[in-house]
Amino acid sequence: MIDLALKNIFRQKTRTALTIVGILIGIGAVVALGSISEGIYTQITEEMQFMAGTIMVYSKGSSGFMTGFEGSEITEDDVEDFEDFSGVKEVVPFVMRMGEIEIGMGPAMLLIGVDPEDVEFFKSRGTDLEAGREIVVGDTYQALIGYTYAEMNGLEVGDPVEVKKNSFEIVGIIESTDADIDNSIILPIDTMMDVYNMDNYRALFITPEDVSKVEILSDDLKSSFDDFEFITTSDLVKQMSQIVDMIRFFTIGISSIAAVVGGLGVMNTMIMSVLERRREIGIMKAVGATNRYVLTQILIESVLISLIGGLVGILIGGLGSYSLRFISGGLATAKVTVNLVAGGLLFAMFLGLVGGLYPAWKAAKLDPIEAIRYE
Amino acid sequence: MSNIIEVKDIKKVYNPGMHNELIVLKDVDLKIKKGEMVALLGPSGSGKSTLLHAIGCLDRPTSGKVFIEGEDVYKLSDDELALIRRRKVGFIFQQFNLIGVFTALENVEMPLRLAGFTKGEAEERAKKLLNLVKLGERLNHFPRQLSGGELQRVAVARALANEPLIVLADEPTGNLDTQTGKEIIDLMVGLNKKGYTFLIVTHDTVIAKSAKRIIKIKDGKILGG
Repeated sequence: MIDLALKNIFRQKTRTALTIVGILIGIGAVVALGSISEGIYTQITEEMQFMAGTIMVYSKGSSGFMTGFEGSEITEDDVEDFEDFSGVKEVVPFVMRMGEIEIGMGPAMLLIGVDPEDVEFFKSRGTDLEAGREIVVGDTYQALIGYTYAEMNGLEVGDPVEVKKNSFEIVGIIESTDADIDNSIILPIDTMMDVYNMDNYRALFITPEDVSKVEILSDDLKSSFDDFEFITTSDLVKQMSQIVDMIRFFTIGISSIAAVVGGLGVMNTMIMSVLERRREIGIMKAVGATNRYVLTQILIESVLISLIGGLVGILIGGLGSYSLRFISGGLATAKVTVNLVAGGLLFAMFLGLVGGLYPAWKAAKLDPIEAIRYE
Repeated sequence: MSNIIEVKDIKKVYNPGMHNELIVLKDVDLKIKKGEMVALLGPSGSGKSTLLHAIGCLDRPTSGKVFIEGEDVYKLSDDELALIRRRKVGFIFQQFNLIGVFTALENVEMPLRLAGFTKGEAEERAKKLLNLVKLGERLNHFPRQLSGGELQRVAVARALANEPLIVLADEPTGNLDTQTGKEIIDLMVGLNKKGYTFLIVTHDTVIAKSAKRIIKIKDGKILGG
């Protein structure tokens, strides 16, 4: 039956090809957008690993992680208060800005200022060097850059990099992490605050004396300091998954509409096909094809069309979303999961089945005598 | 010999009870024995094709019964009727009714594949049948590449595919010239001698005379056997 179905669907090559394209676009979009939101999710959770076991602090009313804590101000006095709090081992302040066009050297996403004294803190969280050395105490106009940023701009240790019209010497390149840090420039915190006229820190990390009590410490801090937000990795992951879920819902939702329209295309094609083959279906019934056989035959054809569309769509959508990584210069990554591929195929099959049901039923119900008379 | 086909008192009415009511068959009785060659002779509109369809499990009569090998077929579901058409009935039509995208061979294979034969088995048997109707040289020709006589030979081979109990031919020579028509009738006479049972619907008395038995039908009534 499948060989016959293949033969039948390629009788009208153009029409079948167009129908396949209809499904392809929908399923391709589902897979592409789905894999992009998976990619975002993975990227974010990997980023969170960087601060596992720590508490991130920024002042209330500022804009949070995604925008570099715009508006957050933490003074030296605050830092001392945190250092004195019971259960706190270490306080690591930093400043952060989103990348700006004035850098003019490609898409640096983040500028991060860290205290050279805290290098060990960052080093222990997976930021090993690919080349060169760390920022050390006494460095001023020295910088570390992320792996992707170096690659995109062809920068090596010893090259200059310009930030707000100040030239910094690249002393080290951080190895690839698949996180935002790959696209960052890291400066000594004092120099960065000078360059950007910042008086206060933007955010800080607090490490607990006992890592297993990080949530308890976070709650203690929350009840003692009203002006600050305290966020642990698990809080962030929760927040981020909500956002990613929303992105997922919208992107997959919208592309599913496209896929359903593709399914209507399959229905339309199969209705046409059944009409054109009326006589032939009548002949087959006269020589002994059951209604059930005819129904199955038409369903196989429509599922075949949409499965081909689904397969090609998954292929193109998957490749397309992977290539996004290169187009965007590593800012966005996509992840094609088994679930997405299986979901895409099942969705395509479902569309073929539902789209084929009405035409298949029409074909099965044809009266052979009338159909044979039909010219 | 016993009757393989028995038609009892069948009636076919189109649009019953409406102003355009049309009675096509009136209380028709008919019996056909195995190995017979019967001609159903009548003018157009006499109901002969409708009777043929009723015997061939294609068209439910309004009332009455059709028995095939003793089985009351119109008690069966549509799909069960399809199975009887597949196994016990072979059809030959005036319009040939071959499938245009299939080759001669594939057209004959089709009922075999429906009956569950594998591609290989179906092909082997279809080749034999096409040789039997002297079309062994035209296996891979498509219907548009064949003459009318050749098309009807393919149709005969297709009708024989599943060793039917009876072959029903509806004006099999109606679209052929006299000479080719005679050849087709001769082919069927030959097959009848080999044991196949035929019921041939025709309005042509010359053709009817090739049959061993002629049943005349007019205005939906059998005139006499």
